[in-house]
Amino acid sequence: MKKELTEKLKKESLSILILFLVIIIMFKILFYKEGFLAVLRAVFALFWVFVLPGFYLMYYWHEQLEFMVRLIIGIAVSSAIIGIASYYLGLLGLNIMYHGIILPAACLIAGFFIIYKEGKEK
Amino acid sequence: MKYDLEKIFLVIVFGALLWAGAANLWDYRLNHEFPYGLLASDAFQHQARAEGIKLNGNYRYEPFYISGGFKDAIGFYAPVMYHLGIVFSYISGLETWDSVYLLVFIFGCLIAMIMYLIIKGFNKNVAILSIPLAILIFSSKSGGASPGPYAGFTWGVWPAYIGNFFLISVFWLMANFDLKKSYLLLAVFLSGLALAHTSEFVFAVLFIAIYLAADFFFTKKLDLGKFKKLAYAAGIFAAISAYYLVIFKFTYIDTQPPYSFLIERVTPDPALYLSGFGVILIFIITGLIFSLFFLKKNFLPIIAGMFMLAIGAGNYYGLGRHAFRVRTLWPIYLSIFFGLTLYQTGKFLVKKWKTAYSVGIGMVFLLLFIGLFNAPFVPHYEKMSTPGMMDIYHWNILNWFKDNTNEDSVVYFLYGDIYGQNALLRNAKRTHYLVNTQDYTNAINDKIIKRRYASRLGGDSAGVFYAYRRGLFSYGYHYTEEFNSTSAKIIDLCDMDYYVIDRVSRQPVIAQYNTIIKDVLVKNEFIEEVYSNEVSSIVRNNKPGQDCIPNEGVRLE
Repeated sequence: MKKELTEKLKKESLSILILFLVIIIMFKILFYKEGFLAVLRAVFALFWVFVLPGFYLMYYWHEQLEFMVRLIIGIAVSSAIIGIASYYLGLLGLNIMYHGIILPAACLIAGFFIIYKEGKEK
Repeated sequence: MKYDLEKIFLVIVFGALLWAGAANLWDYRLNHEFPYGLLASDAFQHQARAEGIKLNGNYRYEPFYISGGFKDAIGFYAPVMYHLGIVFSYISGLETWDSVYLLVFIFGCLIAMIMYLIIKGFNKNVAILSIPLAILIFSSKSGGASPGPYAGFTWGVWPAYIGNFFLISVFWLMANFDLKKSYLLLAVFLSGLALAHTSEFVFAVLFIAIYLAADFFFTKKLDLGKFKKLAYAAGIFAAISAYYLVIFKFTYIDTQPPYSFLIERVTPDPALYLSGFGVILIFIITGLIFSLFFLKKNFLPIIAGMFMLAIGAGNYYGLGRHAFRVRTLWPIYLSIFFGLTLYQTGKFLVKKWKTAYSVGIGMVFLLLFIGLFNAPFVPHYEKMSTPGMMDIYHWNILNWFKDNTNEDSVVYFLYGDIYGQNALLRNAKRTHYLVNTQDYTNAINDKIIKRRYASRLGGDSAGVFYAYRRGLFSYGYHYTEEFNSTSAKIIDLCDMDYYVIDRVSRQPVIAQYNTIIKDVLVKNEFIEEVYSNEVSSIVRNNKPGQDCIPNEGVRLE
């Protein structure tokens, strides 16, 4: 079962990468007057802050929810967790300039931990 | 090569939504030199607050120039949108005026995507046929005298879109409440909702109650497991949200007038009336009737649509502007009924229905709704591309103060064509006053330069009265305690540190009058022009408090 989860993780991560490339192309077409590097950075930021954290956290439900559902709902999960956590971290004294690195990374670590636990339990 | 038609279609729809919403408006750029495409004060309110929080590094307090100069006014606005926009700004390199605005458009598109998932749980083909209607959230026509739904974006109803994004996430979650530990997701979405736009949180609670009632009605079973999950979710939600909800209680709840029953048939704010759907309304009504036969099969997507139809009609039972805001998203919330009519009609004609047929018809309607080809009485998107209220010259004027003045400097704005949308003045990042237009034009008519003008202290006063914290559950209100509940003041021009004087106006006589005032001021040896561009000047008073204009004013020839 662990091998199945690893294969699934690889396949879906590849799908995320393909989607990343598709969105870059989409953004470059839509915002064609913008330089490529600016577009790349904006799309990277969208994936780093909104897509990846939630998607990997949603692996907790990978057996019950299909890829597309976990991707889209994962954006809502990322948004809520990072938005709320950023607010409280700011109140506690950590300048918001650091939140964009720390919070998505923390969510990703939590997500990979969930995947590890899921694989171990099976 | 194997391909997934559904996913390709969704990517196309997402791209079409982003094209209609953001790309056209923004001149096909992501980066702008100044806040671009903002058409009303509320939009600048959010833009200026996001920038202020970014500069402060946190949202403990309101930026002082948003709170009438008070540095202890508690950060009261629902924080999630601002924090997401700022975090996105740092990683993307976009300025906050672009990053926050872009997120609002993206979240608008994602509301459609989540609605797609909800409807897909009912029927995949209905979902494919439904989603093209979402384009109309960017239409400019309301079906009445109000501005259309697109104005909700350009006028700054931004937090409501973030709120609706989490609200529809709650709808999705209730459709999947059987997931293991679903209470975790519910708690997260409810907290996101409460800290993004708290009024939609009330809708979410109401919807959950209706869902439970419908679940009991259709299954004839009382599932105590669901109540247990709700209890867990409520506990986690309370723990996450309590801090902000205390602030919300002592700011918004305690300062706003109580609920009163009021029927508002029309609004000057962005809206969408049922007539705005044109002939599509027939599809929606038909689908609404069809849906009654499917309630037992899968009631949630249908009651979600009915629920938001009822909330949107809340202007008839006292919900006021909250109802009109929901109406701007009716193209998404009511799309299930549109899609259901198309599907039922299609299945009546073609027994073996395939996904490809849904995609084909969906593409036709997508092209129709984006306005590629027109049909009579079918609403469609109309391209809007505008820099908005701001321009580079006024932006440079406003931004001059941050790097060239002390934080405690006070700025006085004489009349400017765009200054009526006064939230944009907060970009000066200084305590500021704006002259009262009526008093100003009276002086022009009386042919006199006055020393004292009726003026307004700039800031977000009418919201929460510049609330400050005395204790955890004890608040004071500067606006009522020190300003006597008014931001209107008679200002002595000679007390000000800086003046912003526009020399260009749609009304030449006002521009002329502005210039005369500037000439009178700089005649004083302690007052000098320190910055100027094509439209405006900044004049500095090096001795505020000293006589600069005679008390009786200066009569004009």
